Amino acid sequence: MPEEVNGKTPRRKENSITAQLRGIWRRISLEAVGAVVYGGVDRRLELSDAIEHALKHKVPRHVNWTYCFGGITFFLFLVLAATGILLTLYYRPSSSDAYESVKYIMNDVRFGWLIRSIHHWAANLMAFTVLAHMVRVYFHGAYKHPRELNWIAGVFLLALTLAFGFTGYLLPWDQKAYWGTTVGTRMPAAMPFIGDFMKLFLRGGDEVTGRTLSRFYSLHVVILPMVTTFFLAAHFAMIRRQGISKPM
Amino acid sequence: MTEQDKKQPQLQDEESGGIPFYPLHFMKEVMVVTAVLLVILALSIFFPAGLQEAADSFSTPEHIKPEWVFLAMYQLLKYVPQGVAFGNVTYLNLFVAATGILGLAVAALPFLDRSPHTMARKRPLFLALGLLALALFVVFTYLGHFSGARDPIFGMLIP
Repeated sequence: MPEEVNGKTPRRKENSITAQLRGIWRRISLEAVGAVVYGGVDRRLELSDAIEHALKHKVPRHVNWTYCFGGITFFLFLVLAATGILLTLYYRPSSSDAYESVKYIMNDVRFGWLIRSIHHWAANLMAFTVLAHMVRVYFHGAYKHPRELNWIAGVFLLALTLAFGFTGYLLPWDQKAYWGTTVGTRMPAAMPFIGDFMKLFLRGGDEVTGRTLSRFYSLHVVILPMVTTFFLAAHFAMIRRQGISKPM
Repeated sequence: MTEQDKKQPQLQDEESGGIPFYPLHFMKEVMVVTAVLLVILALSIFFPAGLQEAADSFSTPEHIKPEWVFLAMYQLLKYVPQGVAFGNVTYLNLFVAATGILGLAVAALPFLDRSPHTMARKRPLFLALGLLALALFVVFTYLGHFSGARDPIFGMLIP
């Protein structure tokens, strides 16, 4: 006798352990949402129907492993936010203190080296998964009508990811950071018409100094996270509205 | 087909089939996330983030390289000739402008590739452009990574 799940019998018989596990998992999760987690809250706000509707939303069958990179990117963004917040507890954004504070994080703060290393690797992996996600969308033609706006939101998110990487690179204030930024800011300084302005805007002067560090810190931990959160929300809302594309 | 379907042909399949996001698809996501976390942890433990000497504006290191995402751009910049192209416009100005135009073209991609096909082999031009861009990115990232030394595959000294 196949187990009844949500009032429907499963279409095909599965091997019994998997079926039982799935049954338990479904029962725990859906009833937890309905009764346990939102019990008292739900009697007042009546959220469970909306949440259940959202959670039962169908994921199309053509979704395969190549569709995972966008989701992984978002997960890495959350990892970066969490480890980044922890790093701000000890990091001091000034040209006299930054290097020593990073050294302190690496050598003296308990698990500080691990938190900074996770931040470092998650950032590198995120750049990779953003590109992989973009390549998948490109070759599936998933940017086509009606998803043009979501492609543009994605291009903004790519630019924001690169800006995160570029500003974060300076923060340890070691030789690599300092000279990497000195060379890197030559590129926007060569922009036609607005080059001089861009150089002043980014460096806060003619050279890379403590002012540059303050700017990059502000961009890295305040401005870019805010803007990125906005674009992520738009990106996800559009996916939800338009569904996951199907290659034809 | 209803009027709505004609307007948005790719949206038809959505409601008809598939597995519920929660809990079945969510379970897969939990597994993927766990795998990604394990990879990050392994990399962090075996290759912790480094820290060089403190910044010193009076001592320029020999090879200054950016993060790997910018390596292709860094390598391409080396092939841009120094000096003035015309008037007070340098070759670097032209290169940066070209990069900006390329960025805008990428953003405008859905309006440039207007064919209704999404399958890669039914739009050969954009398939070719995509593969070319991907190949250039990989090649110049490789060259950038080994620039200033001999690359391990061909043993060439890379500028």
